[in-house]
Amino acid sequence: MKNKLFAVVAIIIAAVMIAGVFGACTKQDSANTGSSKLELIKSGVLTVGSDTTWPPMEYVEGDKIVGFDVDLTQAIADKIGLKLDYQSTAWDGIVAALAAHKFDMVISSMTITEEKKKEVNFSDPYFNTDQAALTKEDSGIDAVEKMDGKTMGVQLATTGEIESKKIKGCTTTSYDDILMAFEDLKAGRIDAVMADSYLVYSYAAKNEGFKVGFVINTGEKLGIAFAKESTNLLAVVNGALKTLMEDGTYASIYEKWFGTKPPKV
Amino acid sequence: MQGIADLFQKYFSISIIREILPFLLKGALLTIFFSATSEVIGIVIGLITSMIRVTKIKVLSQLAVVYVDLFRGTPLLMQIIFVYYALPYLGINLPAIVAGIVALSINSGAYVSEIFRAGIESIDKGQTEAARSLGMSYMQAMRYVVIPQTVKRVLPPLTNEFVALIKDSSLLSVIAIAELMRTAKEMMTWKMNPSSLTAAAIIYLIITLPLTRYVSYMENKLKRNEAS
Repeated sequence: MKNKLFAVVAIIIAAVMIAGVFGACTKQDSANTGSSKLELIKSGVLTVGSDTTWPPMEYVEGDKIVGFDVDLTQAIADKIGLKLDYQSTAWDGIVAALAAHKFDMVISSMTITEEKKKEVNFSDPYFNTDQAALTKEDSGIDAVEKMDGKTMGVQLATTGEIESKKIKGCTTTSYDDILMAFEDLKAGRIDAVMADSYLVYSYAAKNEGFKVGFVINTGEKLGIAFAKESTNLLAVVNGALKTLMEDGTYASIYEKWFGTKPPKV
Repeated sequence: MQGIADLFQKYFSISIIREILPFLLKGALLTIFFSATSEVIGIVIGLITSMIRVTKIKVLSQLAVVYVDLFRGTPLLMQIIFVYYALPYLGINLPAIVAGIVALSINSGAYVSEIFRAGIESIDKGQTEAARSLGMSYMQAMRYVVIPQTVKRVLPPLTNEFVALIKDSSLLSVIAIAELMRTAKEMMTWKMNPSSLTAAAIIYLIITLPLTRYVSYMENKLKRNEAS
């Protein structure tokens, strides 16, 4: 009885492994033949993945995806001469989806880190950010030292989470969605929320009773992520990005969303 | 009192709900589409699996057991992620819509097969024996005698399973399917207000309530039938 069951499981595992070897082979072939062209899932279309719950960079208004990243991506696609298919995805699986070739690239306010570079390639930086802490106006939190013995809310797997964990004496609570952290701050279960500074400033400006407690100068740079194989596409996008920075398109998109001239990236 | 006013402003804002409702309804259509399609396929898978499970061929019935254990014993969230993100490494790159239906159907099939198995086993063995002694083959006995009676008994638990599936389909948001839950989350970040969650909850209730009512009705009817 046990032996039979074992045999069945062994057969299944063997089948999966064999399929894996064949799968790996076919993938190798297609990568070799397509080396001179752009690595696109659908020819003529730039398929982009983005977690659209991160205003004002990428979010949904009604059934339209809007934001700074969206406008920038549209400009890039126009420059290259591709149609844009901008898709909403969840942050949890965004790198896995890129690796599995669900998207040609991911633009989702992603910070360029050494850790991520092991999994994906990044474009040249297109945005600077620091980490800022949102807190209640009357919390008395005005410096990072004040977080000793306090609790910080962050979104799972973000730079905010990494930075928050470095703060002495501070407990970090991670949420799936950043708005859940904001809600918990309102409810008083946590003392502050750490996220990219543009997001925190925009939230503090739109919601009464909140202020930016302090900023940690991380000097982060946001980049567009590509699968390791997509080297030609990466080069072309970098070229387009450079042109947009030089011809003023980037500046006008930045002004539209942030109301000021962009700092040097 | 201020607390209650805030609660209403944050979670029951009529003006926000009114504005986002059309988009939520679109998400609700996707939720119904995914759960209904997967339930139908799940029933087919479950029916086949349950019949394999009660056969005398050991290898086959063991395979069915492995399938049921595997998919009932692991989180649906993981199954969805594997189908969508891991299968491409084996050369199977399913679009999100297909991956979603595949994951939900296989998962639901495992539960349904257990419902059917319980249903089949609840029919008195004497009936199969009687059918066989009348010259029916095993399959004929199943088809003409056992299954028709089983269907009536499994309808209530099957509907319960469907209700669970409708709610579980919210997990599809992890592969970027803009069903009701994902839409509600997007509306929440748009308006910086969680009223969309309340609205989504009410829509889920509107979808599931007729089904749960139906289950109670059927259960009562069965009880009355068996009493008489």
